[in-house]
Amino acid sequence: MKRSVIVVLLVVVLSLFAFSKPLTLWHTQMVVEWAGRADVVELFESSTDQDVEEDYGPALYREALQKFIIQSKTGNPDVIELVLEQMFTLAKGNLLLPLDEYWDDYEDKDQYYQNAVDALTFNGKLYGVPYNTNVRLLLYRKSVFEENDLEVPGNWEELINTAAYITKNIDGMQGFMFTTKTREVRAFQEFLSFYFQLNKHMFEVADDGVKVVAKKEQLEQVLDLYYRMFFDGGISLNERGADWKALDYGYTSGNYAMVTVGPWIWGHRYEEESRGDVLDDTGIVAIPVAENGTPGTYMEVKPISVNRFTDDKDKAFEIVKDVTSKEFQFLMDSQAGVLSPRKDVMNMPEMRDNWWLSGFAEYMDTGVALDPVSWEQPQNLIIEAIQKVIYKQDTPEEAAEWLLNNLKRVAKSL
Amino acid sequence: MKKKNNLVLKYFLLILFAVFILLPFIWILYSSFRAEVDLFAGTFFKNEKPLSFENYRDVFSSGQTAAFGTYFKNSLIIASISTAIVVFAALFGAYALSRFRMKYKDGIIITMLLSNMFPQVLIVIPLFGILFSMNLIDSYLGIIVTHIVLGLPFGIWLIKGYFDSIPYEIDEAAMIDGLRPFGVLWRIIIPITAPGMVVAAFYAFMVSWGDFLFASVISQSLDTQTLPIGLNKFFGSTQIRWGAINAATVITIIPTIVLYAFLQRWVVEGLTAGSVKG
Amino acid sequence: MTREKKRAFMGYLVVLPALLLFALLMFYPSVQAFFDSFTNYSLYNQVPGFIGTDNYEVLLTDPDFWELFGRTLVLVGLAVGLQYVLGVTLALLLNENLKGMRWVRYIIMIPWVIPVVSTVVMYDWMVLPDYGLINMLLKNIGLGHLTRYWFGDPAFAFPLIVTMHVWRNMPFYAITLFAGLKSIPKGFYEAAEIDGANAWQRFFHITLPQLKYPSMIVIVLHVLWTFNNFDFIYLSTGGGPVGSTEVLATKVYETAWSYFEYGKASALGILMMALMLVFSLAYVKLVRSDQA
Repeated sequence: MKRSVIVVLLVVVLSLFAFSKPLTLWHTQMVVEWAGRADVVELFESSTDQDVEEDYGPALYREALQKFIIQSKTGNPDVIELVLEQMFTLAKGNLLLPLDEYWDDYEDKDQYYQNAVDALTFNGKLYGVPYNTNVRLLLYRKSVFEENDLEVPGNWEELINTAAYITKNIDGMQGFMFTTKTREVRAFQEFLSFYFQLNKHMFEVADDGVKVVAKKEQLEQVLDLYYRMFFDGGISLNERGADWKALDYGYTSGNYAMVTVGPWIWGHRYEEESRGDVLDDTGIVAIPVAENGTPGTYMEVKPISVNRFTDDKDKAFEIVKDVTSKEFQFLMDSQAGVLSPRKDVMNMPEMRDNWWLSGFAEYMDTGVALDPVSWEQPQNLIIEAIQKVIYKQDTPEEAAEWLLNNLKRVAKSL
Repeated sequence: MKKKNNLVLKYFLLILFAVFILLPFIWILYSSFRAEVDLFAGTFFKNEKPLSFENYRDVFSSGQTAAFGTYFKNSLIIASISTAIVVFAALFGAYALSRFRMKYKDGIIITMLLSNMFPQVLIVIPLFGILFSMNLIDSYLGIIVTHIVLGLPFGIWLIKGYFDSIPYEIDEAAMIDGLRPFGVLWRIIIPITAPGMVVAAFYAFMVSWGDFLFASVISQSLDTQTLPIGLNKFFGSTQIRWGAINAATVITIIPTIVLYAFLQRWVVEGLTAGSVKG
Repeated sequence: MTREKKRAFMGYLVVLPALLLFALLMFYPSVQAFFDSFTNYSLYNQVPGFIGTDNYEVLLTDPDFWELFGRTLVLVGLAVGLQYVLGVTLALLLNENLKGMRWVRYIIMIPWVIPVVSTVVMYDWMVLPDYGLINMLLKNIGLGHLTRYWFGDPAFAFPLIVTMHVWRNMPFYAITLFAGLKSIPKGFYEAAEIDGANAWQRFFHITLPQLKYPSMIVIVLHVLWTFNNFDFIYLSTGGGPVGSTEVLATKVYETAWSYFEYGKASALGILMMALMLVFSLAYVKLVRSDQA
């Protein structure tokens, strides 16, 4: 008799602990060192009613994904900030909680741009609330173009030629830049920024599996762009194998005249005055459109998602709301120089009057979201195809054929 | 004449080695004192802004401030305990395997070494499951236990080899003189094979100190995060501050070197003590 | 119980805790992986289905696998070979007891105590196109046309990886072999000198044979370490450019942690372990038979 009383007491006490267990949020932007980190953390901690652990997880998305897959079944973390590709992977692996029923009751839901919300839908269900979005555009140094009487390129041919001209004739300045390092996510995104002008999709998800809808000529055309950019002189051959650090910091160091990139490099101005000067001298236009293409560019949407195995779904969604609130998004996005998928945030004067943000916002509707498949393998295949071309191992045509065949090969496991 | 040439050659080689070993570190040390503007200017000694501790101030004033002290503390505790246990266990284990006639001796050794042959990345996932079910996640014990398993095979193998090189006659002589088996271990064998023990200890310490894979999976909070994890936090996805990274790298390295400077005396004594017996 | 049996029992008792720990934390996961290798276990197939030896067949018939295998062998052979030669040289120098030796002993451990990620950062910092030390030096001595991002050049990425391996691990060889040197009785050398042997002969006929055991340990350890190491490559070149630095270890890592295909990764892991097992057994037998 006594023993069972003790057991019951233990169970009660333990479940009390379970009740009072704090929740866990993983958000890379609250961990990695950047100018706005402290403010963002402070805002969250002061505005949330929930009991949340003070450790906000790994600093890198890649690490967060790996750790999440290992331990998600333990219910920890409850809420996680992701990148779109990761959300698809996790949704497909059935590790995320569909949020439709919470979303339908959410009073702020009409504040969100519909295409951002649509981008986070997988198999008809919503798997995240968007908090950050951007498109890739062509950034260029206004002074360089003015002083040399150059016209901003409007199509691929002009882009290649202008880049080559600048590299050849202007001291200390390279016309353009691509990231091309193995496994560099940005290289994949740059490729898509051009590809999306020729085809808004690469894959099609049907009931009987994933099909490749990319055409060889389209892949070839983009690969040919890479080829000519390097070998016509737009980008020096020494710059092959560069990663995002080289491109972003190279641009704000004043080494490149044009790059295709997103708005986050705005943050460099807080690190170094001279970088701020470069940013102030930057013009923003749509990425040059191929003659046989339509405007389109890579659009990024970052979701806040919930672990399917969380101990408390209601509280978890409360945290999601706190981390996507108007105040939070405003602080986060304005400091980082990125766009918010909320209309009320984007309509705030500080955002609207910010020339940088409104420059990017202007082209948001040309943004194309990723197809809902797991992109890890196609990503590496695309980068490898690019490398085959720029290291002259294959011609653009051969590389395109190789790429298409391999995309088809992996399509069934996507 | 010949001897002098030899001396010059030896010093020359030594300097070559020193440069090879120190160059990356000296360059990053120097870079850590330079302003970012100069880091990207491509110059050696010409600095627009004077050298300063700015980058270091950066590292310590960031949200991860006190954190660096914590990372160091955690790494030190975990590595020290793992090493102590590894050496202790390896000592007794190696003695038993060397001196006691056991049937499955070779099998045991090979099984232990086998575990070091399997790619660690594949072990991580089941390992997490096991540690979780034993409630060892986010605990010193969980990480220590994992590090012991990583460092023990080599320790046992190495020390056993040293023990094996001491002929059994010496044991017998000592036992005739009245020592029991473990007495033999303490008084005779350990002093002779001290160098091997020191190397095994070094190895175990470094395996634990440098481990990122297992520590990052097991630890969930600042309480158990180690130096490699802390250093990783400076690598963001959209922003990277070379100045801060350089400073943080130096901060990670210096205490470790100081630690080793102290351990060196121990090492040297251990090594030279061994040679006296020869 | 006879004394022998009692000793044996005590022996087992002593190694039991360690063995249990191993069984739990290493053996069990390895066995799990072995079984997984015959399934299609992945992030999307959480309930794995048995597919027999498919994973192995796919691997062994893929020319890419053999290319990786070859490259892994080259990496390990070069790295360990260079480490050994340099390690022995340094150990010999340390043994000379020259003036100022104290400082050398302090600094040689530096590469080894630095976390791998920091080593990659340091090397990356030295080989960046415009602000890397190497390129700056080249420009200064008039070889500016040779500057490049050295990790991005297919011809140099692999040698750089080998260099990093050598830089990092060579000190351990030096320390271990130095310890080994210290336990060689001086009497051997004196006797040899009396017999008229010169320095080279003393080295090859006394030093090296006496170092056989520590050498074996340190070589096997590093063959295993280099074979399994993925983070030097992963963090610096990612396996590129154009796959020129991709090895079996990075492939396993990518299959398990980028593509989440655990069944395939396990198969590759088992193959790798088999390779290392064969090497270790063969090498150890070789050394043992020599000593007997």
